[in-house]
Amino acid sequence: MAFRMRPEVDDWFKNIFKQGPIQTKFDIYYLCLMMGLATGQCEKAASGQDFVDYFVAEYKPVQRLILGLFIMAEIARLGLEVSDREDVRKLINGYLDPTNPAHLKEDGFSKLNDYANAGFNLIVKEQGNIRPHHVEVFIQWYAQAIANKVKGNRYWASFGEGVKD
Amino acid sequence: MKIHLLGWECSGLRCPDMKVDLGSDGKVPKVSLVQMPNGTGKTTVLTLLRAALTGEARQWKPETIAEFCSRDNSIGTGKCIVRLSVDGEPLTFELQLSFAEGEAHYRTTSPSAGGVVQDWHPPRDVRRFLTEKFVGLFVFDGELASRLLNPSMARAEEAIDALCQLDLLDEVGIIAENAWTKVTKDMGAKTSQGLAMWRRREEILSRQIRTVRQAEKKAAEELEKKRRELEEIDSKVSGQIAADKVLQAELERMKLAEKEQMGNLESSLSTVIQGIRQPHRLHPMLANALGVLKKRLDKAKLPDVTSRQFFIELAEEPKCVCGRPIGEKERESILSEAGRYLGEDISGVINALKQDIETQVLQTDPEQSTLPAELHRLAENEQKLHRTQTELQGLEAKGMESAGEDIKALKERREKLQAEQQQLTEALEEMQRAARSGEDESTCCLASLERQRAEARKKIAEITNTVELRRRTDVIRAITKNAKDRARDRLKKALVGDCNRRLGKILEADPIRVATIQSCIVLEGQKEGSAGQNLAVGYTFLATALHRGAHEFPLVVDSPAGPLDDKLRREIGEMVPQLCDQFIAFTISTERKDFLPAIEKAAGKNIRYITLFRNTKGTAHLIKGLPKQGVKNSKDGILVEGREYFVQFSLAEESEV
Repeated sequence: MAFRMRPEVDDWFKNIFKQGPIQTKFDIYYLCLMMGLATGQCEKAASGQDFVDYFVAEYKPVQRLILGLFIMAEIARLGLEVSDREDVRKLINGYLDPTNPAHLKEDGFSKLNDYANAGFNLIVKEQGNIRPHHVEVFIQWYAQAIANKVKGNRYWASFGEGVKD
Repeated sequence: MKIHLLGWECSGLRCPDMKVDLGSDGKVPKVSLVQMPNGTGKTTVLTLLRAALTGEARQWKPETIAEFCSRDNSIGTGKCIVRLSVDGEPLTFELQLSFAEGEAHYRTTSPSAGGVVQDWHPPRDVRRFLTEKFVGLFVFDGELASRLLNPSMARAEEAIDALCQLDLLDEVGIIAENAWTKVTKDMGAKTSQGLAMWRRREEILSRQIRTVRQAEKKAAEELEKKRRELEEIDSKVSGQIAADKVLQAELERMKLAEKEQMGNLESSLSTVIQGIRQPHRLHPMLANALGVLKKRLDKAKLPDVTSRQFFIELAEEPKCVCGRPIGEKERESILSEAGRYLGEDISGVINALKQDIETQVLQTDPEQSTLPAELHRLAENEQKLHRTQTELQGLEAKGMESAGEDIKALKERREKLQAEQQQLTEALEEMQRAARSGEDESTCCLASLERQRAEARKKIAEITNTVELRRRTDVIRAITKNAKDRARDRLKKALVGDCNRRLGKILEADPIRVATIQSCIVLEGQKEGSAGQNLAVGYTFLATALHRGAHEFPLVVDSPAGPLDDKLRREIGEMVPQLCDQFIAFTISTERKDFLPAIEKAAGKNIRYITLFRNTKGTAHLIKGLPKQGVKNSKDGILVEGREYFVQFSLAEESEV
C-alpha cells in the first residue's frame, strides 16, 4: 500500500505542477489531504495510482504532526474521545505501523487516501471545476479556503484560536 | 542498397509536360538543381514523385485525382513516370490518373520483379523502403529538417521508426490482433447475443482511437504553425517599437522592473509554501488541536507504561508476576488482553508525536509564526507584478498605435493566433490527459479510449472462449512494443554518436552537438541553435539515419534555401552535398544567391543544372534568349539544360512568369 491519487488529480493540477515550489506529487497530495482533514470528509476513490510509500523529504519533519491530525480527524469522525484509552488504542493499532517508513498500516494508508480524495473533490468543486493556472493565485485561494473550512468545522473550531500562528 | 533517382516524365498533369533526365546507366551527378519558377508545379511534381514511389495514389479520392488534371487536358488521363536505379538495376513506376473515373493505376517495370507488372509492384527488398513515411524522409520540403528539432512535432522519433523500419514491429502486433479478431468473428454465430454488442463497441472504440490520433497529429502541426507565425509577428512588433528610442528605453526599464518583481514573487511564494507544508501553521485551530491532543494523551496515559510486549513475554512464562501459575486458559486470556495494548514500537511513535508537538507547535514563539503576513506579502508582490505587466502592455499598445494601421492589424492577428493556440493546446491536453472513471466512447481522451477498448476486448475474449488467445495476443503486442522501444533507444544512442561525428566536421567553425534524441532532437547545452544550425543538425540527422545499414537514398528537397538568409544559405549549400550520394533540389531563382556558389564549391563540377518553365504568352519573350543546345520543348513547357542559362534566369523574368 502507498499514498495514492486518482489519475485526474495529476491532470487537474498539471498547470501548476512543477511551477515554482510545487515540485513533487506529494505536494499536491498534501494540499488535497489537508483540505479533506480540515473538512473532516473522506471518500473512497473508485480508481487510484500509488505514487510513493513514504513521506518525501519536505514532509518528513512534520510526518507525525500530519498523522496526529489524521488520528484526531478519525477520533472526531467516529465520535470518540481521546480520553477513551481503549478506543484510541484500538484506532492507533489499526492505522499505525511503526515498521513502515510512513508509519502507516494498510488501513491507515487507505483512510488517509480517502481524506485526500475528498479534499481533491472539494477543491475542484470550490474552484468551479476550473483548473488552476497560476500557482501564486491558487496558493492564496487555498490558504483562505482551508482557513474557512477549519473555522467552519465544528470539531476543529472547538479548539479555538488561543495559539496565534 | 543504393537507390538513385534517374529522372521522371509528366504529361497531362498540372505541371508542364516534360521528361527530366538526371542521369543514365545508373550514374547520376552528386547534385541536380531543378530551377522551376513559382507556378510551374514544383509541389505537384514532388507529390507525384512520392505517389509514384509509394503507390499511395491507389487510396486517393476522385476529387484529389481531379486536382492533378491540367487545364487543357483533352485525353482525360495524366501520367507520371519515375525512373530509379536500385543497385544498378532499373526500376520504373508509371502512375496513370484517369480523371473521369477518378482512379489511379500503376505499372511497374523491373527485371527482378518479373518485367512489367500492371500494378505498383516493386521488388520485395525495395518495397520496405517505399512506404509513405519512409519516402517522406528523403522527398520533402525544406522545413522538415528544422521540424526535427521541434518538441511539439515529434518528427525525429517518427523518422527513426520509419528509417530503421521499426514500424514493422507494429505490423507484427497488428497481424496478431487481426488473427484474434478473425477467430472471434468466426465464432460469432455460435455464441451469445452480447458478443455483437461488445464487438460493435470494440469497433467504435478502435475507430475513435484512429480519429483522435489523426486529430492529435493535426493539432500538433497546427500549433507549430501558429507558434511560428506568432514568433514572426512578435519580431515585427519589436522592430517597430525599437524604432522609437524613448519608448524603447521606457520598455526596457519596465522589463527590468518586471524581472525584479517576478523574483520577489517567487521568493515570497516559496516562503508561503514552506509555511503551508507545516500543517499546524495552516490555521491556529489546528495548532491548538495538536496541543490538546498531546495534553489528552498525557492525561489518558497514552502510550501505556506497559507495552504489549510485556504481556506477550509474560504469557510464555510458567508463572505470573504475582506468583500464580500460568495455564493454557490464563495464557489465552493474557494474550487476548495484550492485543489491547500498544506495541513498544507504536508507543515510540506516539511519544515522538508528543515530542514533535511540544517542540514544533507548543514551543514555537507565536511572534515567529508568520503565515498570514507571508500571504499578505505574496498578495502585494502579485499585485505589483500585475500592475507592471499592465503598464508594459500599455506601452506596447502605445508603440503599435504610433506605428499605424498595419501594426494594429498585426496585433489583432496576434490576439487571434493566441486564442487559436490556446484552443489547440486545450484540445491536445484533452487528448493526452489521464483516463477518468465513467467515461464513454465519445471521449477524446486517448488513454480512456484505450482502456475502454481493452475492456471490450476482454469481454469478447470471455464470451468467445478466446481468453488464452487474447492473452497471447496481448503478450505479442507487449513484446513488439518493448522490442520497438528498446531498439529505438539503442538506435538513438548510436545516431547521436554518428551525428556528432559528422557535425564536428561539417560545422567546424560553429560547433554544435546533439545531446540526445527524444521525440525530437535535443541539442547539447542549449535549447535551440540558430536557424542555420538547426537546419544543419536536421539534415545531418536525416542523412545519418538514411545511411545506416549501408543504404544510400537520394535527398529530394523542395526549396532547400527558401526561408534562409544569405549566410545560412552558404552554410547549408556547403553542407548538403557532403551528406548524400545524390542531392536533388527544386529551387526558384531567388534562392540561387549565396546558395549556388556554396553548393558548387562543395560539389565541384558534379552538378546538373536544369531550368524548367511554362510555355505561355507570359514567357514568350524568354524564347529568344534560349541557347541553341540543350533545350527541350513540349506543348506547355520548356526545359533548358546547362549552367549558363540556369544562372541567367533572373528574378525579374521569374516574377513575370
